[in-house]
Amino acid sequence: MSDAELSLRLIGYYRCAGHGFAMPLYGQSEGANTLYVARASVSGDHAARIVAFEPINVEDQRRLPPGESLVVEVGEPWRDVFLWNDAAYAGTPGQLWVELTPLHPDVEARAPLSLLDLAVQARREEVSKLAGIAFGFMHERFGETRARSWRRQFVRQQAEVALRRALTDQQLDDELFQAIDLSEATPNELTFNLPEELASVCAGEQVQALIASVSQLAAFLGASLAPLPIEAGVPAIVLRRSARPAPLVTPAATLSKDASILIVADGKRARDIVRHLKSGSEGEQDLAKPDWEIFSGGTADFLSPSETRARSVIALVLGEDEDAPARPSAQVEQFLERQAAEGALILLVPAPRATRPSALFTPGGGQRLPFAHAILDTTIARSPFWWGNIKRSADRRISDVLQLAVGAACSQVVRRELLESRPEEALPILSVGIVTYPSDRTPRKDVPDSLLLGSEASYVAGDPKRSDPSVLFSVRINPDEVDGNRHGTQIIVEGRRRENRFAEFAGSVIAPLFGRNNRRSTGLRGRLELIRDLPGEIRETMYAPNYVAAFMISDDTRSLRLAVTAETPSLATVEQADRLGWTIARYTDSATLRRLSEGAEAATTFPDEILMGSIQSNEINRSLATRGVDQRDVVRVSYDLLSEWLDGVPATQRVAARRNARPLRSATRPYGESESDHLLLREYVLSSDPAAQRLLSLITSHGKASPFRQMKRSADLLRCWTPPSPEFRRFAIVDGGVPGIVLELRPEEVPLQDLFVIDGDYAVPALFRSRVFAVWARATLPAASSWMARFSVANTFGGFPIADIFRIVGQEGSLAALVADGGPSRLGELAEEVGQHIERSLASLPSGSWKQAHRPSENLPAMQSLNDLVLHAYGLPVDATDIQILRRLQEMNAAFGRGSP
Amino acid sequence: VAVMKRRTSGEMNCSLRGRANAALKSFYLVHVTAVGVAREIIRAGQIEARACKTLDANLAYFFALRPAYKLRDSDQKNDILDFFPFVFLVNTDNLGAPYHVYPFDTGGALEGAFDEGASPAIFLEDYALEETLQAVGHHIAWAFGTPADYYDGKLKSSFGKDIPDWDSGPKTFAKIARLASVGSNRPDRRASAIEVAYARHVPLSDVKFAVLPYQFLEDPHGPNTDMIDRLTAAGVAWETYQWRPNRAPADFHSEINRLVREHLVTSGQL
Repeated sequence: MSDAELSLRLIGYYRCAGHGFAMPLYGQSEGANTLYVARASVSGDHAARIVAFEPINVEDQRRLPPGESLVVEVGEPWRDVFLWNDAAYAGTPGQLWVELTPLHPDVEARAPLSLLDLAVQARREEVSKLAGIAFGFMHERFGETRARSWRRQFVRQQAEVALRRALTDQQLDDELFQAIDLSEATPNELTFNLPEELASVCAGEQVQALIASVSQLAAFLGASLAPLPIEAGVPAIVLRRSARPAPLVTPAATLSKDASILIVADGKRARDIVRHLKSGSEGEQDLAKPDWEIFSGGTADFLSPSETRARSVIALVLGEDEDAPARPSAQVEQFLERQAAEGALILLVPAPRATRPSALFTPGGGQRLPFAHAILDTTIARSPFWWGNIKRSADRRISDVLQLAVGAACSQVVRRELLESRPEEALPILSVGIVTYPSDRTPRKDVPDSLLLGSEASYVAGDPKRSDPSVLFSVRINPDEVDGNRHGTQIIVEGRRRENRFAEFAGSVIAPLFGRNNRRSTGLRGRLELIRDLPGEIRETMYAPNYVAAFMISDDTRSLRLAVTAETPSLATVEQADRLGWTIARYTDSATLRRLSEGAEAATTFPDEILMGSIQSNEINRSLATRGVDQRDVVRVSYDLLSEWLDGVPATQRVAARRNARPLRSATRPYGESESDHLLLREYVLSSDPAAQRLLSLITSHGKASPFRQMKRSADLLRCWTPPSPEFRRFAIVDGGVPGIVLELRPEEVPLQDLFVIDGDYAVPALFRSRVFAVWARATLPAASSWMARFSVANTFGGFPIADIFRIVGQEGSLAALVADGGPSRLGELAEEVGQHIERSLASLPSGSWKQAHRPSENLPAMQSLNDLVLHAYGLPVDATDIQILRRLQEMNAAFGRGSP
Repeated sequence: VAVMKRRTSGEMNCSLRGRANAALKSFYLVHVTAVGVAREIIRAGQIEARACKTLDANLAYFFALRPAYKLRDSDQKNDILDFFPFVFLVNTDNLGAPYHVYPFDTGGALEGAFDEGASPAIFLEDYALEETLQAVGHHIAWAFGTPADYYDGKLKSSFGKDIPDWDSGPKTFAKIARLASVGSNRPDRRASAIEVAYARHVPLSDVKFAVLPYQFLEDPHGPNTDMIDRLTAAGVAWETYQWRPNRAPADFHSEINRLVREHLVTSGQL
């Protein structure tokens, strides 16, 4: 199973009948040709998890409508596809039950067996009623004998699933479950006939409880189920399931059979990370890792005195939260000391905060934890030398590191190194990573072999590494030799001394950008010199002043003094650096570093990754902006379909019907096109209006799913659908666009979710196109490397202070509007002039570069004057730097909290 | 490349023929197909003989008594047929002589499914039984003893031991057939399922029993259009199995086996 097959999209289904459950089909993308089916952890159990995807040949498959596919990962709950009236609904049984609620009476009347099935899988109490209806249906349609036979099979299947679920950990052979038989010698009395081996293990209370729920189902169907025949005495020899490949990618490596692994998460950050290991289920043992125990909700259970089992590996994940205590509780420490004495290998796993380095890695830190054997380097997850899948989020990457390390820690070689030949002086850092063979196709950055495992916490340069005194040991484990399934990879495990080599690390991060060898760059390129004398004033403002590297980069004409930090710099640090002629950037901030290397004016601006502290969000400001509608909340029809529909509507009703369809606007199109898709409200499409009913049948006949879905954001929909008061215009701001891209919406136009709606007069384009908003928007964008930049209503708009010349006024409906109030009269003229300039650029540029047309150069006289006016309104000089603007905005924002916005 | 190949020259040496004699007893042929194809069979009113590339003829394939089925190819992918089987049991009284009878699935054999037992010196045609329905009874009596043991894939305990080594045809057949037996590492029931092919369409009126997913019990689109009514109209008895999207195919295959077995026992064939 490759990494890519761990996460697929549910894109279609194969149907057996035209209604009820169908078989979900998965693919890499919506148009994928290779299809997969999911395998459930418990055969037949809709509450089970997905343990694998397997390729399948299907000719007659149907696809879900575009945009409705679901991303599903191995480890997530089973997803179903349920068909009704030619529409396919996808989700967990619980979600389907809720989604289909309006249709229940219809399904009940025409397909009661399918509805009962859904109710049973969704574990609804309605089963009690539906069971009777289903049995009645069978009885009426096919007679007593058939109805009883159907009932027997149905109950038998549920019993089989219940037993499989209850006996998961016993690893019994499938044939035993297949051999479960249910007989009905006397009418309405069902009796189990279990294979002997199965009966002998069914004594547990859990099994009995599960079977009790099945007998309840039988009772609802009008039959009694005799209790399980339990065999007392010595259990018979039980057939065990034959060996199967492990369903999850686990570095099973040299994990011996009796190895037991305990993972303890301490703190919220730690729980966030560990969550990815267990794929979301509390308490439930994951099939894939029968030997892993994970405690994340409190630590009481494993600390109970009765718990004396010795573990082979214990990973203590320490969350470095805001208010986390410096070390685990005394009880936990005692437990770990006890376990260490019995031979357990104890790993400390720091879960560092996103914005700063972990305290544990500093030489001397973590010294007071004598029971530990190594500290796992989790910061590799945010290093540019990250070895794993670059598409994963930071938390998932850390969980990948943890999983790999725990697997590696079961290897005898690693255990011996850490437990026996451990150096006296200090706790070592454990670095783990994966090297790939060329056959591996996971997207990874190109990492030269010698730089592998370089992070802010631990760095070893040079080749061969063995000559480096920092390296205590270095082993490669080949998982192919055992039955791991990371084909084409090797695990590298290194023990390293705890030393601060951040400067060397930072140097190797920026060298490719500024070094002479970078032939692609046309900007600053030349001598890269590490200097020792970063001014103390800058260090004083930092959280980790020892984790900063100062460089002097110079070529023949220019020079740049660059400080690379391990923490996200605060505004105070940036200001101090700016004052002293330094530029500062975190090593992860690749966008800023690239800009600098391309020769951008370094001074006066701030890096993309900047620590803003807590942003006060103001209720009034927040009410100004609304995110555009979620496509799933409305019915989207193409222009062709709209015309086809209107042609069929009687002429007298056509105008009224047409009014229900509104053109959509989205940031993926250059401008509103009259022939673009249209949106309709669901309430209308589902109403009894004859024109609406005609439309619904047209939509269904075009193969689109009928619009019964849970509403996602109905409030936003209402606001976007309600037109602004006649005195205001409606604008849309493109999500994530810096500087702001402001579009004026035409009457009736409804924006999609990649736009934010703001009503008002010329104040809206004047303010949101200005440099001031651009500075704020850039500083508050989340530092998301793996996903597109996004504004948020709370931070980008709710936290943005509005200068006095603007005013927020209320409107009918809850959307507020922004108006210019008492500002200079030139403001309106300038905003108009900039607007006209944009119109002209739009006409002259190809439509693909429409976003560029919306960003007039700051040198455009009208734009310059506009910026000056806005800066003045914020009490800033016209030559204010970005840093000054940001400082001013931050002060104004802080005043929100003190009640004077 | 599969070990077993078709003969390209020389006379076929049908060494499995005439190994035992048994009284002719009526038995059902089993045709397993995917739900989509079954719908077409019921609509058209016949099991159609389709072009078979390997044997270059239009053939309708069956297995004697057993709900085993042919897979189109033996690559790594699962087939939809695995997940949605639909079983027809056909009465042989009106069918006449078959086109061919083989003691295993010929498609599987030519794709290498039985390579563990096959020998390169014995060609496919050498395993052919007589082109009569009696041949099935003879073969069962020789290798399995009773139809019930044949159904369960249990070879006679002494089977193969008394075949001398020079009698290579039966000797290799015994090796192949053991692949289907209970003790095998990779039990493949096709390895000992007797394949009977007809070079003609088989009308629905000869079908006596069907096993289909329970979803067909309902018909939301109104009466008299669905499968069950058509089956009933054609005089076909039927049973349903509990199809579920997340049930491993092996699980409902065993359920189907049980249903077919029950029916065969009731009709006195096992």
